[in-house]
Amino acid sequence: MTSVLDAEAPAAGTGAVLVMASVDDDHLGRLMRQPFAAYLEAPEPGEDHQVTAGPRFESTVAAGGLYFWLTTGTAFQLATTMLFCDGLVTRGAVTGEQREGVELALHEAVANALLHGNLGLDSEMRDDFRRYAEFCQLLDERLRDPVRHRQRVEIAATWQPGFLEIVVTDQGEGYADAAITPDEPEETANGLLIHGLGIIHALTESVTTDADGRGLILRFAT
Amino acid sequence: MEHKVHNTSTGQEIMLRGRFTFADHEGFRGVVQLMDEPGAKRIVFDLSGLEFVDSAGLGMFLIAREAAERKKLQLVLRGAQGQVKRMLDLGRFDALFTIQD
Repeated sequence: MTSVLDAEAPAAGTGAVLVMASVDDDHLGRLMRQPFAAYLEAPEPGEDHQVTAGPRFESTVAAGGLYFWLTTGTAFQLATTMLFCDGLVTRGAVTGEQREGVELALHEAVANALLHGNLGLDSEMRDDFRRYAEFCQLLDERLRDPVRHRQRVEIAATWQPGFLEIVVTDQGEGYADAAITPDEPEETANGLLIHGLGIIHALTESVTTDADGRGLILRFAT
Repeated sequence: MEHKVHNTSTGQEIMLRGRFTFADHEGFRGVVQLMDEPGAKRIVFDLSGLEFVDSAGLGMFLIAREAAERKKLQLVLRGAQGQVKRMLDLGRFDALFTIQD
């Protein structure tokens, strides 16, 4: 395994790891076309300067998968799931036709990880017109909070012919078991609304949580 | 998501472009505030430049709908294509909004 501090194109299949100091959508979009196995965001100033990764890093790289380890602030700003799915298509994990469903399910999982996990925000407040301004203000405050801003989200994908698994893990309080029960579109204060987890259930073969409830495991037939 | 506002004889036409997601709450709050401007009767969201919408984006359309109802404005969603159109269909938005091709 190789670790580099800049975008040097690695040889395919070497499990090369890219450590990124700062990146935008265009830059990361170009880097996704290179055969890195993992994309790790370097610690920000004020953090421990040792580069770390999450619990699925080694197993994902060893399996020839694709791996992101980003701060909440960066994952919020980037088109994170679009870029990750660019990488899945480039690596042959999904076809162009399968991509839309995989991207939407992954996007909803990452949104839950960031908003409800790392930023600790309540979806009922978000969906209530009378509390919408309050929700937006709280979201802004939480994104500016250096501790929450630096909390990480891990996206780890592995695949075999006919099968794709993506695990999205945050550093929040974790899902309650009942929270991932399949549900129908629900009526809220605003009327009919599609629920993010309902979309995930509709687009995946199965959805489960990992042992501590912080990881959402999405399985797709491909 | 980027947006551009055109004033019309009956209100405003708001063109949305790019990806409309959970990351756009703060920007969309400004769009909703446009409905406070006096004299408007009709707000049209032009979605022809929108490439992707998630459940949070659908939720923001519902916030806009409630804001419009309070101001007695007609709200129209126009020109959705591809994934955006499929999401509006999935959410049965035709029962809630005036949808135009």
